[in-house]
Amino acid sequence: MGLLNPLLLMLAGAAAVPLLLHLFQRHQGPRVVFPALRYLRRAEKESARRIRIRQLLLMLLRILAMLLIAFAAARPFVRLGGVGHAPTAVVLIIDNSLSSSAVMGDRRVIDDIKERALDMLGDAAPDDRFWLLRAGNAGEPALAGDAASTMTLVRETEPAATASDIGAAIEHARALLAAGAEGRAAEIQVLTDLQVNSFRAPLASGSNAPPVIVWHPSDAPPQNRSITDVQLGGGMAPVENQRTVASAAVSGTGTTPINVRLTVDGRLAAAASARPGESAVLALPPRGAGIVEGTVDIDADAMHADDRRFFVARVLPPPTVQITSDAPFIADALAVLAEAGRIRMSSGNADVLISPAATGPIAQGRGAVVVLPPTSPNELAAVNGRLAAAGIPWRYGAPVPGEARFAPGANDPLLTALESARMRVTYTLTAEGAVTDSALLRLSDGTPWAVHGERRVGGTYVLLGSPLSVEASTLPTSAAMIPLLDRLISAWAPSLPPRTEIAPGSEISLPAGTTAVQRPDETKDDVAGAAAYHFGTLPGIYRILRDDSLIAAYAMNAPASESDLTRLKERDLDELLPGWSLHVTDDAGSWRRAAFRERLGRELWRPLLLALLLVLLVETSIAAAGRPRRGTAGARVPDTEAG
Amino acid sequence: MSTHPGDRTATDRAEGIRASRSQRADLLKPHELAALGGLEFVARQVVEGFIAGLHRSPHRGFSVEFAEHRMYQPGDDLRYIDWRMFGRSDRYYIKQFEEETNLRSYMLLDVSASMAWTSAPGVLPEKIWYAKQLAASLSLMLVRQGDAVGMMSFDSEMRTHVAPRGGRRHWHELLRTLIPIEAGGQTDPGSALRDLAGRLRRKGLVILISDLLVDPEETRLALRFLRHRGHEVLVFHLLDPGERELPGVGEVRFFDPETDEELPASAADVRREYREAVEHALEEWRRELAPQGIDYVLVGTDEPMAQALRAYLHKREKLG
Repeated sequence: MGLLNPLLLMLAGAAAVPLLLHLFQRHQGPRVVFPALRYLRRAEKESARRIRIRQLLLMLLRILAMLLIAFAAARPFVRLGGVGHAPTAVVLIIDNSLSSSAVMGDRRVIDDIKERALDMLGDAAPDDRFWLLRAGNAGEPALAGDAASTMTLVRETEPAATASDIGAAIEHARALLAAGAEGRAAEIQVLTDLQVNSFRAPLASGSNAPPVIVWHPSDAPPQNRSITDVQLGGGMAPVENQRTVASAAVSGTGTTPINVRLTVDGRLAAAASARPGESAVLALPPRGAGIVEGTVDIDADAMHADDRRFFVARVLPPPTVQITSDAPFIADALAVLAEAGRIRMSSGNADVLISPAATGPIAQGRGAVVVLPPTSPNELAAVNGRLAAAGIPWRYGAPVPGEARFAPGANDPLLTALESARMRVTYTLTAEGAVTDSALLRLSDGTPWAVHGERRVGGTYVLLGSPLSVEASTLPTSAAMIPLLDRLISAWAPSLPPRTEIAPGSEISLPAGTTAVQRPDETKDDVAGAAAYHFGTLPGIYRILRDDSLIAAYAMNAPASESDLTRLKERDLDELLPGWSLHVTDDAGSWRRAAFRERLGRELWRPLLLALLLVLLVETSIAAAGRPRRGTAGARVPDTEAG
Repeated sequence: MSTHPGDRTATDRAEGIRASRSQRADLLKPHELAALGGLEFVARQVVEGFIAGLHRSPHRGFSVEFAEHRMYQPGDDLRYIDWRMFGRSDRYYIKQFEEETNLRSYMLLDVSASMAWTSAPGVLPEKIWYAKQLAASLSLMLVRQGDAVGMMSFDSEMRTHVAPRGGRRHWHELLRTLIPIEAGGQTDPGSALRDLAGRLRRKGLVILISDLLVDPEETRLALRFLRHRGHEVLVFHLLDPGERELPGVGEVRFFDPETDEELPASAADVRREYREAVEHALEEWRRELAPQGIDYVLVGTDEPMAQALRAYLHKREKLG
């Protein structure tokens, strides 16, 4: 015998109400003039004992009714004597996402989850059927089997470096049970840490769905800090033999600074400290061209898996740049960048061409082109014709009257430097047809000032809204000029840098000639002849090899969303699973009792409600015996006064 | 506030008169009687209706002096058929006699506060109305028979007193005394009866009209005393239907207007015991009064007057 909602037993306290009424209620009815009081006094004397007994009986029945209501609300169940339980089809959902690796006390959450699962499986009967759904193992099918084989699978389960979607798993479980329960009682059992991101969206209504029994840890989640992002060079590809920086975003709780370390090729390269919510900036020493691999890590805490973040970057030679117009300030700035080794000047076939829209070869080559706006409104028609011919979907419009300034930017040094710049001449940029938002810089009124995209003839373009001349703006003489050109050439103009980070469980097309993929644990998968490769969920660096040569590398990290160990509230589940029959508990005993509901025998609320109905009927009939009957002689109140 | 049955609308009154024309007034329900009019008119209608029905009555005529003949009707006593007239006319005639008596009657009318009650105001008359109507009707019958009629009203003491005399004029004097009487005060019939016993010089008939919500022992003792003094005693016990069957109200505080006592009770809880208590009390009155030769008549205030008048007639017959 057990209770599914033991807290509702507190309703039994309402049983005191009839008792108190019985003890303290006094007759306070209206006053009725009635001369034959002598007969009444005699009658009352004779009936006093019977009335007392009747009132006592009514009180007891009312107390019993209250107790029955409270007991039924607590949803009691009884195990049918000696019988195990009815054959049950159970989908066991284990949330082995990254957050389940968090250590609470001296145990991982996953260890508690496995223990609950093994407890439940220990109560299984031979006719039960199980499916194991490991929500953290992306792409893994439901594992069907009996209790013994499922126990083996449970024991083997370890946290995955993934985010789970418990909602999707429950929907999957519902479908499995609908198709495969084969007449058994159906049940979905969920063991999870209820991490705040474990449900992506509310499910459809769960009417007629199997009951869902959820266990989650009772302890408060531990404090956790993590590296949630690593950016090299502020989004620009590292340049050969150039110093660059790695920016590591630190998240978590508290305000104490955290030690952050940068390791490149297995050697500590830099260290810094940052508070949660800040970014640590770590210097990356100059390197030759090629692939650079590394990690950023912090001191270990309750969840180790997100204390280290892997990264891969491709160090490239400085891009070649050609300018096709006489623009002294641009030329001077490029000279500075060339002297610093950020670029190489070129007289032809350059990676990046800086060209005026009116006269430059903006439709030539397959590299990137930075298009400077017309110097006079008279050139607008010719310029827009050239843009159209180059397959660029943007058009210059009439100049914006008055001075313009850039929209303020946060956390970007370039945007901060641009805030003081003033544009005296700014041409509006208007897209022709449907163009996705590709604005790189916007003015304070929201209109785009710099846009980019890919030319139909090949290569990329960047269009600027103001000429980079002292007549048109203060930019050429401002401190932002050189960083702006650096960003234009190294980040915005080139085609998108090759992908170097992959999500757990994702798939990529392999470069031609790939022979093997080396996994983070140093094992190799032979992929000769394969066009695509499906990655596992083990975080680390995956190397794409052609024979023994490294041709590409990818960093795989756990989703940052798993680092937030905040838990969902139990009431949140009611909204996420609308209409589902839910039993949520953080108690191991309650979980074990609630699992295999059919095993519990039938719930007793139905017979209890029947008993309640019976009690109420008896109560009503006894009470009715003490009430006036309609139509009886003397049913009038002859003379009533206010009581 | 209760409505006195006399406070009728013109419509009610017209309906009452139509009813009286189509039916004997002594057989009308009290609320129909009340619609007929005032005390005198109703009393006349009741008595005349009652007398008109006597020929169908199983009672013997009580007069001693021959007055006239009338046609025999089924139900008449065969002893009064005039066989001589039958021999002459071959028709059956009944001999009617005129009364000749000098009985002295005394009506005792209870006017305590309990008599002002009715269980159905506006539908049933108050007990005092019924008592006054009964007293007026009885006194008219007594006067018509040539008896002397006196009257006394009382609560805890004597309120009005009319010495016994005969004649129509005296009856009107009785009515003038009866009409303004209103119920109020506590009841003590014992002292009223003892007072009356002291006033009565000659033996006669004492008619007590009361709801008998009194001290029964003391009242029965006083009645026995009257019997002991040689008086004939007839007791009309007026009972409202709402006194016989407890009003069907829930939890209330019952209030006695005579004693100002209050008793909280649930009517449904005690209804059965109450009914038994009332029956027991009524049975006790019958049982205690009968051996003393005191006639006890229970009259419901929802019943026609005829029953009470018949009881009186029965008593009068015994007196000869």
